[in-house]
Amino acid sequence: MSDPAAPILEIRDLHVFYGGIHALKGVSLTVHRGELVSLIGANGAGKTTTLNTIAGVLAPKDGQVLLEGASIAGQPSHAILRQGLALCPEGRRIFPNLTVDENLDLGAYIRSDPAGVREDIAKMRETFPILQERAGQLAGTLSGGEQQMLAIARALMSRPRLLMLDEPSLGLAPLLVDRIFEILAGLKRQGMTVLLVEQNAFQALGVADRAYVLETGRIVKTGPARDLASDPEVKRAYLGG
Amino acid sequence: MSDFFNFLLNGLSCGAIYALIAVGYTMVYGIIKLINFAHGEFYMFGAFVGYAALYALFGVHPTGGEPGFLIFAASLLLAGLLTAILAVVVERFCYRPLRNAGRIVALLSALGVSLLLQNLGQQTVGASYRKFAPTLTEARFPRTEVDLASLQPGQTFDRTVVLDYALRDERGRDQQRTHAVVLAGEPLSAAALAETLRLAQASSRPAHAYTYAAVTVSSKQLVIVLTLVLVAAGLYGLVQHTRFGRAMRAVSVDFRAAALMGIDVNRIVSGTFFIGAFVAGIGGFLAGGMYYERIDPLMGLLPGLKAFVAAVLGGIGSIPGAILGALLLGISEKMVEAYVHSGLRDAFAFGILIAVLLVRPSGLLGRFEGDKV
Repeated sequence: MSDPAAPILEIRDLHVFYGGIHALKGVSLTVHRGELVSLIGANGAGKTTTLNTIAGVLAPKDGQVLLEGASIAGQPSHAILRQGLALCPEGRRIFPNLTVDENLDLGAYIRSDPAGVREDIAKMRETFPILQERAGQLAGTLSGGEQQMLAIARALMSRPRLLMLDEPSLGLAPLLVDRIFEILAGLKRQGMTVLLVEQNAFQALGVADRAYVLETGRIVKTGPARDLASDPEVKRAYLGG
Repeated sequence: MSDFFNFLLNGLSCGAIYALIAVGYTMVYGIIKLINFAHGEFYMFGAFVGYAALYALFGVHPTGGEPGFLIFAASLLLAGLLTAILAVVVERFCYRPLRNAGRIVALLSALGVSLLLQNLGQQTVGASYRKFAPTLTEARFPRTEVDLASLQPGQTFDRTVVLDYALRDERGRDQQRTHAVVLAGEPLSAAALAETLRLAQASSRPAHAYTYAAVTVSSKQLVIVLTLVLVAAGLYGLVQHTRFGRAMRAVSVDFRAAALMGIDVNRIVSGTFFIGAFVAGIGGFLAGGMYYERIDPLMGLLPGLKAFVAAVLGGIGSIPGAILGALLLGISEKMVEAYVHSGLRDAFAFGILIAVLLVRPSGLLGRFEGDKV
């Protein structure tokens, strides 16, 4: 089953359909322990579809999703989270009718160690002071940036082996975008394994170890993030020059 | 004026019965946006389970006397439990497979289940109604006891004096009886006194004479309203302060995001049906088995619709809203019955529904949700 020598995540030749639309046409990628891997590409390239399929929101038509060597393809989201794979979804999807603390508690829904959960909430409040200030407030009253911090903290509350983030900087003011990427760099320093989907290719490549470029459902380029950042084609297509 | 308060209390208990159905309606809607039209049939099913439990399992004959607290409580619990299990099965096989098929499809399935349960009931137990013997000693409060030994011929009282006594039937059970000793303001005749003392003597349990206040609440009303208070408090605690409640609230706003938290959405939906139907089941038994003392396979139809009206009135999806809406509906119905015309009661209830939908589509306590259909 689970093989500690295997990469944390490996997807092989993934095919996903949305109704009649062939959204992913054989995507393969690998994430190793401790890596921050970026998946970049234009709108509609299939980035979110890839993450949603890994997280069990969508079921693949064909292909494999291996978590430390064990297949998880086709399992429901709640079962996949239990195996240590958390997705911080696009658009944040915090629970607006619940308080900030209740959102964090739900992030730890699968855990049965109340003391550890309390400890982690304290840690999150340290990393994201705004969550301390707004602890008892309904999450729907937070600003977009605050909601994004909450969404990331909530995803971390399950103590995932791999954290997937879908467009965490989307719709945020430039200052907040910088703050989000600082947080990602911080997570990487702490040894968290991250798969990051971003339209903001410049900053995504800046923080990542490796990256994949996705175009209309296919991986067209992969390599160390630094190399991709200086690749003329990638520059022209995604980095504005 | 005292009439008004008596109508109010009547309306309150009638509304409390609606509320026990309406909370399940609103919880299910809150979590999967389904108007579960079969919910009224859950209420009916609970009444029949309680009936069967009382009379088959515990051997209390339908025309026999009161079952005693333990048997009553056990029947009530069974009514709730079996109804809850029925609801979980219905959700699993009639609604879950249709969850992604669109709301109209699930709604039609719910209508189908509703009719199916009504017809199954009529086929298996017959369409005619069954009368219950009283399952609870009827008493009204506040009351003042009049000492039987102190009664003198020619005595007058400000209020009517009533004797509360019991006769033992051939099965050895006490049948409660009341007897008017003397009317307010009239002198007590020697003959009436003698008759009263004879009945008190013959009573199979100690007899008491009482005068009652102008506004009284009956033991049945107390049980119904108290049950609602307990249910409301329990639901509040459950929804606000438990892991299950947090998960419920999460699923109700965004079930995909909830699944990403590791919440098994199907389990939460099953649990919601279980709880809502449990409450409807005990409501059915309390209403049919205790309050109205009659049950039939169609008994869930009108209360179910009224509870739906109540849930919409309060803001569908909101539990406090459903309770508020149900109480308001019950009270206004009784007022229409008392001061306008009893035949207009149901028309009035549905008139309220139309008015609310026109003026405030989100209901009294509901949040406005854009077009979700």
